[in-house]
Amino acid sequence: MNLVAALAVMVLVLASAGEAVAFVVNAQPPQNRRTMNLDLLPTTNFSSLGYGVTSWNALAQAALAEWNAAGIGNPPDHQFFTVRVPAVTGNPCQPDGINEVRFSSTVCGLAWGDAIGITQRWSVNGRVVETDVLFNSTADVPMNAYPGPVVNATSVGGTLFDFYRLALHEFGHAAGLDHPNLDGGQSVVAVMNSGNQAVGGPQSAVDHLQADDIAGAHAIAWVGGGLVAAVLPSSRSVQVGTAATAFATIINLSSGVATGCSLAAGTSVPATFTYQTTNPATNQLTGTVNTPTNVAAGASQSFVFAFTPTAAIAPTDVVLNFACANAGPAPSNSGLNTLLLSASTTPIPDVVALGATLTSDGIVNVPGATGTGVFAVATVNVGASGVITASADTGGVPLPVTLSLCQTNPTTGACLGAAAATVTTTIDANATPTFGIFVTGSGSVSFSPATNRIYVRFRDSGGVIRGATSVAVRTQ
Amino acid sequence: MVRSARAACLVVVALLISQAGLALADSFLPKDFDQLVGEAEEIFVGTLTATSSSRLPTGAIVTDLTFSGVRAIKGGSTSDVRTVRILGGTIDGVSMKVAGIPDFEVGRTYLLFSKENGRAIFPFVGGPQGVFQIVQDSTTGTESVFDARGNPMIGPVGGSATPDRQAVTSGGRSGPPVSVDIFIQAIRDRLPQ
Repeated sequence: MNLVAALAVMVLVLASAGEAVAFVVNAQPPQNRRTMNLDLLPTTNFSSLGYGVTSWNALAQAALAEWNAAGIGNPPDHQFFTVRVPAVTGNPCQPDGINEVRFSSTVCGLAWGDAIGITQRWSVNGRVVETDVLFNSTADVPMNAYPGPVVNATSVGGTLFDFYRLALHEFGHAAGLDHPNLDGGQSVVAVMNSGNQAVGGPQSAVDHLQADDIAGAHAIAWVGGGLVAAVLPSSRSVQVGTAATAFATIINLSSGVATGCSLAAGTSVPATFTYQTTNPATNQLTGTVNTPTNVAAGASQSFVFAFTPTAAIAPTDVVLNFACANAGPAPSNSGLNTLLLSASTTPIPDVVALGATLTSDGIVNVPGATGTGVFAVATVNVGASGVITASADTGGVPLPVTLSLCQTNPTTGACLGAAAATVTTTIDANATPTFGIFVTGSGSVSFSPATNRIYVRFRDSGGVIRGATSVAVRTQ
Repeated sequence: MVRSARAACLVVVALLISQAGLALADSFLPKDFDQLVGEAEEIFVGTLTATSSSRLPTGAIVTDLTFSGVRAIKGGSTSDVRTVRILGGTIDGVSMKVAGIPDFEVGRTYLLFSKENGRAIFPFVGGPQGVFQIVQDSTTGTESVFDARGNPMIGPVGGSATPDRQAVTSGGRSGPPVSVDIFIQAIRDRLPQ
């Protein structure tokens, strides 16, 4: 077959289209629900609005509501997207914890080029922490809002873009979907296709979610899946053969019952693992050991779990899998729902530490960019006596803060010595020393409680961590 | 005979290219093949040999892509190295990724329709529409053209610079991808003589 014939065959082949379910889920699903900050101010580049609403924010909110109606994940979470109230001005050029949605004439100082809208995913150490959606507000991209087939712009020519379906498309990215046609190389009718808003194109009238979009939304294994979880205390240090226990709570954020919820060790350590439900008011055991339970919509369930080491364990941040048969697992965040576990063949200190902030919400607020925030840490050594050095850090996250701490009088809270980078003291068995931690800013710290945290760690004379706790930090 | 077949092939490609039809753009403005060629400040083939990410003063992460062994088709310098800057990248565990922007792979050869390099977020005509991969058949040595995601270009069909993606639907139709020689000739045919 010569080249002409080959091309002719290609043309004939191309004329017989097929169709398939073709959604493409991004490899990095969201860690949790998305609270979007709608910051779509009126702009002179835009004229009349369709869809029965009168503001870009209202259109965006309607697009979010359409995705919620479809549901994200399995089971479908119908509250995946929420709108931040009140709206603030976020910075899409840095991971500040605000999922910004706005028009912009540039993207972080760069020109739009041929882009009309983008979704930026910020991730830290592989975890998606922020998703920003920007729309091109330059005059090169005429935009309006209207249902039905897209039309040409009378002003500058080319497509008059429909904001609503563009917002639907970008929010689909925010939920965790990619392009079926580009990223999947497939053919299907979908809002998530790239290419719908071409005048005269075969899908130019697709202005609402299609079956493939909804099937894709349900296939998003977003990490939270409607579950969140917490662990206290966040560290235990025991002798081999002794159970290291801690409490955990699962909250079911979804609108349906989470069934068969259980705990499991997600990190391999030489230890046996058990868990059991508890009464959160009394901490007394309920149910039976290692038996999954249901958690009602919007409800929580408390547990106690135990690792009993069978050999020595160097300090290990053990991940716990909080999962239900129809939801989860809950996102894992070090210091929030992991357990720093160590075990020794000889008696060792076991400093159980709990942080206390002024607002009793686990957040230390730094007043202004250069102010100083404080919080306290109460401890009890339930292990052997030992010389312990306390220190504070940001867990490797570069934050514009300087940290110092002191041991305090448990009654008055006053420092027993000058605050410094570390404090070394002997903590006897069953002693309950307290500490004050000072957080001085040299810049603004955004509110991202899963990422921006202050850790207080207690190390023995060998430098081994025998206790730890943490609080979130932000500038206010 | 071979010569006449090749000429006829180019005619068919040109006819296909000139037809109005599909365009790609929800996140990017739609561009047809003529626009790709016409709007590109530079068109070149090069192999990605290095990437380097940095931060802009705004805090955004950008990545410089260094292409070596460059064969210029339109515009540009005489150097055989080009650096193209795109928005997104990873620094110290912090990543910024723009949905819909294809990943570039070191060692892979690309055919690029570049414009606004250093100024725009993704400096290719029509965004991903201006990015193509060149893949050499290990058996025949023939270089063929694939789109930014690696879908075969079954000819720049219907006025679009992208392949007919229906042709790569699983279980659907298929065909040999266009050779890079034919593709480049189609570009050259659109350049001012």
